[in-house]
Amino acid sequence: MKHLVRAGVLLVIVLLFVFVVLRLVPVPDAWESFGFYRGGGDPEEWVNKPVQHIGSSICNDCHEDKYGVWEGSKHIAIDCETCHGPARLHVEEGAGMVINTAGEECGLCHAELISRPSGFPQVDVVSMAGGEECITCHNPHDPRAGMPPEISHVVGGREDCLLCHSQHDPLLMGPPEVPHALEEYTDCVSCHGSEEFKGAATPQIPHDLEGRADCFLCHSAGRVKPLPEDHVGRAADSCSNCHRSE
Amino acid sequence: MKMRISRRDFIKNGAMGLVGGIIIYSGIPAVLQGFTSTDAGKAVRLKGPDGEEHYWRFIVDTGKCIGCGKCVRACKLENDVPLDPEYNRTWVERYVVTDNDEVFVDSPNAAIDGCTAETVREKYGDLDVKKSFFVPKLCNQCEEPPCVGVCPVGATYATREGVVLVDMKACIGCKYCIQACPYGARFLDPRLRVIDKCTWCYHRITKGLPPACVAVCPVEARLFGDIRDPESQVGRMIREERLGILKPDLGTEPMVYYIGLEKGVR
Repeated sequence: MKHLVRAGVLLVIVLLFVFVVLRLVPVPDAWESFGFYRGGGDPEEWVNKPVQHIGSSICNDCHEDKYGVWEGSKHIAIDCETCHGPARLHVEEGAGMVINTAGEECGLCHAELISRPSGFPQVDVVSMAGGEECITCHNPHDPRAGMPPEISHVVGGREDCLLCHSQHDPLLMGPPEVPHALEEYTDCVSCHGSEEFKGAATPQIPHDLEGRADCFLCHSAGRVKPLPEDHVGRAADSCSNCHRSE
Repeated sequence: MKMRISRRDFIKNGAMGLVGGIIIYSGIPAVLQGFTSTDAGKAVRLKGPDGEEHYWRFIVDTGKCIGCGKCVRACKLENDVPLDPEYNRTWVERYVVTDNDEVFVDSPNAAIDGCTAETVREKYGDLDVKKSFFVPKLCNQCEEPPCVGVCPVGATYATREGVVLVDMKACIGCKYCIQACPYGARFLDPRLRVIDKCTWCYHRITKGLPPACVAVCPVEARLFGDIRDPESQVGRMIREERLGILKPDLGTEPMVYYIGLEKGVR
């Protein structure tokens, strides 16, 4: 009887000892030194990981042209690496950076989705671009630059734009489809210049337009707020082609 | 042989065994650890690795998230996480609430390629959608982390700043912590067979940089900062905004706050 008890006690002691010893191998020395915080030095293995996304400012060292455009644009809120990916290897080892220039990349943010906040600019990427890539018209570093787009051919002798650019009769030349109806517009060049630069987004008119048919009453030389220089010579009935009231 | 044992002996021996077991169980580790530990009696360290005290907080503004998934991709590239959709330190969930208050949640490939591949209409058909929105998820860096308590080998721990990390050399990959985490923030790295999780990009924040997901977010839906820093936008928002946390009933005390939580969001 006694030897059974002794053997049992011995077995328990041995098992406990084995458990404790085995457990000592993986458990770090400073386990639960201070509650959930474990003492035993800094978590160096995590601190010393390499930083892959190194920030936008270093891009300016080589890509001043694009950086300068981006700096003055609405996309300034977005880091270079948001679209181009992490730059560490590119800077340190000259590794190439690949970016998808197709419209689907733009669509990651700008494709129309009901789950997105309604105030965020969203478009039907396919129908807006009409088969073209977004970057045909939009500079991704400054998406509103040159909007409305400049006409990429000489206008002289081609007074009737609709001859070629018709929504119902898409053409051999030019964009097969344009993002707005064409019929109501008579003076395409007033927005789509062929030579002069159009600047950034079309400003909205900060007052409503009802009962103010003649814009030039106030907006002409010597009046309340003259037209900008590059608008001189335009007809009053073309203002609303681009400028809407708020 | 017939065993005969009196009640008195039974109780006596049982009690002795119990007391002996407790003494052995609690005493031996201390004795053995006394030989190996180098930290016995070390003072509590208050400062982080950069020599500063930090009170970091993370704010997610669900009203701003556009579900582009740039954060998910940046996280994986920054932290060398496998690109497969099962392994994520952070991900973006898409919520759809119907007119009948049914809630549908999905996260197409964790949103690493955005959420445009299969739209809500394509996936749910003619559902009467009342509203739909995105909710980015990540480790909540709980002040009462249930994952740390269950680790049998003490491989996971909180730093002094409250960031919960895994000691990859100590982890045995038993996955108890995956079960314990109410937010699903942990996964088993298939290459090393150890647990990985969001570290708030500990290698970045200890150098004064924001986590990668915050750095690349195009709409400031993710914000990170030290609330003691008077310049910090996060500090200002914690003072001014009304913030929620995920699963407050569990008492985990997350350090990730959410703006614009809907009742169906868990």
